[in-house]
Amino acid sequence: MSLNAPWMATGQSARTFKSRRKKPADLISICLTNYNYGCYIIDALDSIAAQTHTALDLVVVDDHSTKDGSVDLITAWMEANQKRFWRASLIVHARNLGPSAARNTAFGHAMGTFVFVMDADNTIYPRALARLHEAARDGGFDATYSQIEFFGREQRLGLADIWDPMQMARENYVDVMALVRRQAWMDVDGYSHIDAGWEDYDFWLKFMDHGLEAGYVPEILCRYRVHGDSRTTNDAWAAHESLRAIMAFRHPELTARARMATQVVKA
Amino acid sequence: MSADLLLTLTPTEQQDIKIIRESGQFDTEFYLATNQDIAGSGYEPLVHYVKYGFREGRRPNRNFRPALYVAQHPDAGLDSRNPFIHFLQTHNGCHIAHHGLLTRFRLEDLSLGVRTLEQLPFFEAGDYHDLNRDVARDTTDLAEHALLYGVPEGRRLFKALRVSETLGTLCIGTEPDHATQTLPDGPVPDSIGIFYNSGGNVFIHEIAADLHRTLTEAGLNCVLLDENTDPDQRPDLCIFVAPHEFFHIGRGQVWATGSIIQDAIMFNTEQPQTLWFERGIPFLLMSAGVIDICHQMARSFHQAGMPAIHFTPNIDTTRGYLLKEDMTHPMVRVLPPACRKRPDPLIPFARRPLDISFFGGSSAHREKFFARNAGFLAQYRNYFYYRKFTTPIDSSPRDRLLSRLAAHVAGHSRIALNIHRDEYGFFEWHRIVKGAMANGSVVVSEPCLPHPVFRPGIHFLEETGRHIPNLIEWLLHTPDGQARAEEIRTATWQLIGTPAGNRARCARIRGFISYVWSTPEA
Repeated sequence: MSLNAPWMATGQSARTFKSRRKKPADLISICLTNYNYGCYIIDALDSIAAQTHTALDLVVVDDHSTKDGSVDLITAWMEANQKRFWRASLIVHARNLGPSAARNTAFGHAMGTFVFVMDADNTIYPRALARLHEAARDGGFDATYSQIEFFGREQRLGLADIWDPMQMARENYVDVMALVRRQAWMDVDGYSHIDAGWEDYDFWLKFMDHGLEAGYVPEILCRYRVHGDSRTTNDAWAAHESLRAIMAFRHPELTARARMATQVVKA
Repeated sequence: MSADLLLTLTPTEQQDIKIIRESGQFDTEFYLATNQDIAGSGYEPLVHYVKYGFREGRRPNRNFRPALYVAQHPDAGLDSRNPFIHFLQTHNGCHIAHHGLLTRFRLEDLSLGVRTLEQLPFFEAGDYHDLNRDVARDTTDLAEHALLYGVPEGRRLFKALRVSETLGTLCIGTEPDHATQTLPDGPVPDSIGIFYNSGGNVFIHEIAADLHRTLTEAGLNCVLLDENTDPDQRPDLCIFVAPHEFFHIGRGQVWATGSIIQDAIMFNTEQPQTLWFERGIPFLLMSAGVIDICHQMARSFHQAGMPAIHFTPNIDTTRGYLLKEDMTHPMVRVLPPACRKRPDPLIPFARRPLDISFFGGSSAHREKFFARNAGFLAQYRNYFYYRKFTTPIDSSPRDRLLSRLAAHVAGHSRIALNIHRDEYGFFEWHRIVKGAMANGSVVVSEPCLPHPVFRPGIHFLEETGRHIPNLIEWLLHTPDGQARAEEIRTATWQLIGTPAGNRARCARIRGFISYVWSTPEA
């Protein structure tokens, strides 16, 4: 799968509500991907509408939900809330393509310099986009991420800490929920589909392979819903060892550097 | 002893009995308990030991193990002599007769260390046995085991419940200081080395530098050194900052010898409930004296019979903030541009660009607080460095600025939040005073162990974690709260920045060093 594969853009239908105003300079796009999360997505959309940052370009991608009325729900919400956004779009995949493809579809459609990536079962606090955007712009980062609050079946904080390639090569502590410069997404050829999971980890490792830099904004700004029915909990745990092998194969240089650094620490 | 029995004792045996009796080290109860076969023999246990027992390898007390002793002192077993007599005659005043795993200490050092551990209020032999059930209680001196094996083997020494109870007791007393342990105008060493471990925590390095500056202000000739110094070239007096890490990392281990430690002063910064504190115990207890960053801890060492003083360095009002090379660090670049400039502690509460700052490592206690209040905190302009990496904050390019950054961020914050690592409420001087108060932010803290100088309600605000959101809202949003915040900032700034206070601290530490320096070896 590549961003340049022409067949990936087929089978989509889009609906867009766009303001007549010219594109604001501080426009932030939101990449919100949904697959059968009809019971949660309104919470996600409401948290986006409640952002303190004004100029928003909302791109919702429905990855062919079949179990619930996601598309109708989203369409109705957009009709009711379109005035909040500079532009609001819903793109529907005609076939279920997986989260990486869904995110790439959204990025491809996005018009902001920065794109915030989010799954439909999560929410964000009102200051999230303004703060992440300010830090990315003023600090000159290719991406920014915050600390995360887990809610639902668990109440705790996430694992976010300072961006450090050596530490990241050992284990992923940066969630997919982050603000990413659209150009950086293009530079790394988007999100790759990995059938067993860990596309988000792979995306950050590609970031490092390309010498791109993310900044940690040390505030709790995003919320991750723990409901025990996500793809991560279902599939990725079972495939942990094979996923490590996949990452080592895809990012051998980084893996080797981390291994050498660990040996030095041990000595 | 009956007269006819005396007749059967040789002059040597009579002499041995006298030596042992005078040492007070024969444990009759132990001897009978471990040698039940002699109960009906009619012999007084000591006589039995001198006449037969030692030849049969029996032990006079929990500490003396003849085979171990003879292995280390081959001449002690010559001519069928009693090795215990050899020990008593060659190690006058010692009761520890072997080195365990601490082979680079003399028996004199170890004996003193074990006695001091017994008196340290956090230690209780029964607790040690509860924590280490594999140690044979009946035949082992548990304090000896704790020091000689427990620490090197990474065992736990102190029970959590005992630590809590002891801290509670230490908080009740009002005994402010140990006026006897000072010689105000006494002699001082010609040269003093302040040691920190270059592979250790950057906060410790900073505390060592602060101590160095304060001692220099006190007119002492001192130099800041690390573990790479040649021990043979060491200054007259060595002060080791954070012994729990100094003697464990890299070349710091070279310094862990009795001859260096017995003449040194330790600056303890660690909290008693931690494994780290226990790792520092041998060095603390075998040293010449302890400076402790915590008032209650200094009292505990004092109760154990050691020279000990509570001391915190002077705050340097001309200190450097972030360095030029720090400005490109990502954790600085994520700051709003207005918060990257050099902060001024005098900037009033209302004009500070950040609402709340926090710096600290992750722990279950903090996790609970922050998870519960995530939504509350998300409303405010925070700088919340809640460290999830489990590696220590060291001098790597990634971490070395964090100590400076904590102070810098507090300098731009209205409130510096102090959530303790655990339930113990240790007053963390570095975070509360040096990091936050000295930079003009108002400290909002969970309740702390009482501090002799800084008072809750006057110099900082205390509240249970559950109600801290109410307190923060009151401070940020109400005129009364804002006025109170300004009062607290003023009172604290006056206390920290007063030259008289600095002079008094200088005199105190000089008097203590002189006292330790003038006290002959035990």
